[in-house]
Amino acid sequence: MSSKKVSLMSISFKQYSYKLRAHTGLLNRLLLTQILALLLSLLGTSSMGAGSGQLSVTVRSYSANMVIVFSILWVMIVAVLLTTKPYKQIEMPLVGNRLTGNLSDVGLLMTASVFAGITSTLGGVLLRDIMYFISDRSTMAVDGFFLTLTDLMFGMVVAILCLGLVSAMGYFIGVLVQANKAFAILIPVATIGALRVYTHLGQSVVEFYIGNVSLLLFALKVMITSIILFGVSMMVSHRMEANQ
Amino acid sequence: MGVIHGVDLTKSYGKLKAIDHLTFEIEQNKITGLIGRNGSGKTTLLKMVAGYLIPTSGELKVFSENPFNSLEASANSILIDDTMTFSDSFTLVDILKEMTPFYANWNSSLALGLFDYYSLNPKQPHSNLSKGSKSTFNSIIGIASRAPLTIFDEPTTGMDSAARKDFYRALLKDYLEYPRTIILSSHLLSELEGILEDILLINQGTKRLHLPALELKELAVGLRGNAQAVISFVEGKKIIYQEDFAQGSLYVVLKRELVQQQLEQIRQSGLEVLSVATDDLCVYLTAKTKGGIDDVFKKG
Amino acid sequence: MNLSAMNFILLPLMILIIVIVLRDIMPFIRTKMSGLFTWKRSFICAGLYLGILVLMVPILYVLPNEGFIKVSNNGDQASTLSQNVLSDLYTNKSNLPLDLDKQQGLYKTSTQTFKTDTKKLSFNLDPNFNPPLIFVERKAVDDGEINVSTYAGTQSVGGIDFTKLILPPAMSFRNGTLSFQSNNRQVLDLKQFNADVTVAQFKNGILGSIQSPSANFGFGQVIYLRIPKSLELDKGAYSDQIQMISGT
Repeated sequence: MSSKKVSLMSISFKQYSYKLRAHTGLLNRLLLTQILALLLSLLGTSSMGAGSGQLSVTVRSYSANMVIVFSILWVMIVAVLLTTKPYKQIEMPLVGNRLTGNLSDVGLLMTASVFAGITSTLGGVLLRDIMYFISDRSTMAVDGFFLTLTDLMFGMVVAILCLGLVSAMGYFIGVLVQANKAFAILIPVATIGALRVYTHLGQSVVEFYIGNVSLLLFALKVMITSIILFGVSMMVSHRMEANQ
Repeated sequence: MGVIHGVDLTKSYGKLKAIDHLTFEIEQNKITGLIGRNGSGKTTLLKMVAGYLIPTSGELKVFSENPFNSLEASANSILIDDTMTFSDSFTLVDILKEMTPFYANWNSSLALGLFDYYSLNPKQPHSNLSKGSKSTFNSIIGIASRAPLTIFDEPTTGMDSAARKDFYRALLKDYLEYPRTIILSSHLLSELEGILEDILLINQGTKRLHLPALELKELAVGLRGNAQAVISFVEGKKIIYQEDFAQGSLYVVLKRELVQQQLEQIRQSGLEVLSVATDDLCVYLTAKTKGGIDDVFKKG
Repeated sequence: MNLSAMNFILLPLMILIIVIVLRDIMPFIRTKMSGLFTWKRSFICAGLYLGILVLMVPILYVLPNEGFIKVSNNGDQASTLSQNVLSDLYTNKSNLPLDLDKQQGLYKTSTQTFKTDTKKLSFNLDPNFNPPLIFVERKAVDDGEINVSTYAGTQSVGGIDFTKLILPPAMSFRNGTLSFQSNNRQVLDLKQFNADVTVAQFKNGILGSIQSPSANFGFGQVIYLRIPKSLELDKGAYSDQIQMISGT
């Protein structure tokens, strides 16, 4: 018998490396999305306005927020897409099982989160550099312009963690919907319903994760939640038949 | 030695039983043809063997393991069918390279050799291929993978006849060089006949027969001639197929062993004794009625 | 209407547009261009993109820190101070010589000198012009020159002190009449860079980052004239605003 022992991790890694190249279409979408968000960010958001007889002043705020928000949306869409049939079908010609498929998806999403987290945070730097040259500096506040390296690193880490968490949520929702299509209706209805009944739910959930001052605590909460979500996703999809 | 064991295997979708209490065994290093008509359950069976589907009941072992979700079974088998999809990020040549790390026995030079032979455009993405070219390309993967269990589900869909012949030839040559268990599913037996060693014929999810190809050739005999004379010989015997081909004339197919002793007598009484082509026999064996489609017109 | 409210409407709209772009247009483009975006090309694009972004970091730190509005954390404090000073000036109407150049909370926006050959000085103030305080100090000599200095109180929005950007009133002197013309409505578009939500949430809390800072907008102006010793002053209709300072 020519059957050799195959290792779960090595197959998962092979699938991961395969998918990394197979799904570059999604990467292209991220670049497009981020560039679009950067262009929109160049307009700034007018955060304040005031005026008197002779003077009207508006203050436009510039930040990479839009790039980050769009990247989060992107990773959410990617996570859901990875659970759908066309993306799962790509695994079919490969050696593997449900678990290796899931593990390679998780690896892919983590890579996506790291890349999107770094690029979206650096988008703020690009924004500043562009604004420096195209805009009149005499109306530009120096405060916050020269990002400190620590803030930059800090921002990247937080962005990566947020993206990772969102991807875990997206993947979980995707798997549930694949397991039973009823979830496609049930999840939004339940979410909206819960938010209606418990009006502070959304805020307290947000507070739970980001309402703390310690990065370490935040990272811990995010990682534990992500691991749980991915773990449950794997358990749910374990008995699911392929190509259905 | 068996590579695949199926015992009382059933796969149902709601009330419909795609595979119905099927018991079979596929032997190692043989080319087995899985023959059946459309909707007979071929694809369902192969997908269970490949580990994509869970049997509803019964037992299925591939390399003495339950294939569903089994990494071991997956590493040792490949299923080639027309639903195989590849990312548009890969050119055809990329795909051949990407497959290499997954299959331990992958033969790159063979893959590239076949690829060159069929002169497919190496820069093309898989999704742009025509149906026939897609089948051709997928078959290259199937052959080059040299997986200990290689399954082709309707591999020649859309191929022209030259491509089909090339495929069978390539498969046979590589099989001789590197023997492995191969399952070919098809509804067309005539083309496959030359390379098949075993034939598993299924109909409506059940096994009709499982025989070496050579035995199948000798399995049945056809009698043609005067209806009365034919009936006198076959009366009370299990008829596989019968056809009125002219006024008062009848063509009957039945198992050879049933009339083996009487063959001389039959010939003397002016009846023709014909051998039955295996693909015709398979059609007869899987027909719903004894007269085939003719019965529909008789009633009218 | 609050401008920030507009953004809350615009943002979801933009997101909607992006989603439509991603969902409907992208697959169309993809099928048209399938085969163009091989994984190698995508990786090269992504690598270049990341490379450019990383390169932006040293560039940012190399950029000279010049020409910006300096923001003081106590910008709001400064404007409060200046408001106090101004209201002080309005109510008390001091008749002592002032050194406004040294007065905290006031910023000199312009100085101008006019030659005078008339005996009398009258004023003409633009009705649109917010009533400024005009202090007039007689010089000890008759040098035939009127020195005009204009001052503005600290103007700040969200801590950004933009006083220096404020145009002084336009002045002209003709036939013994000193005119102050209001400028056309001045529109200032200030820009500030905020920390991203990712960082801001840890600094101010998620809600703190949305709160809009205060705007201090007392558009107080002070005009300080130094006129020749024997120039006759005709306050006309503006006697409330013109304050003589008893010279030495």
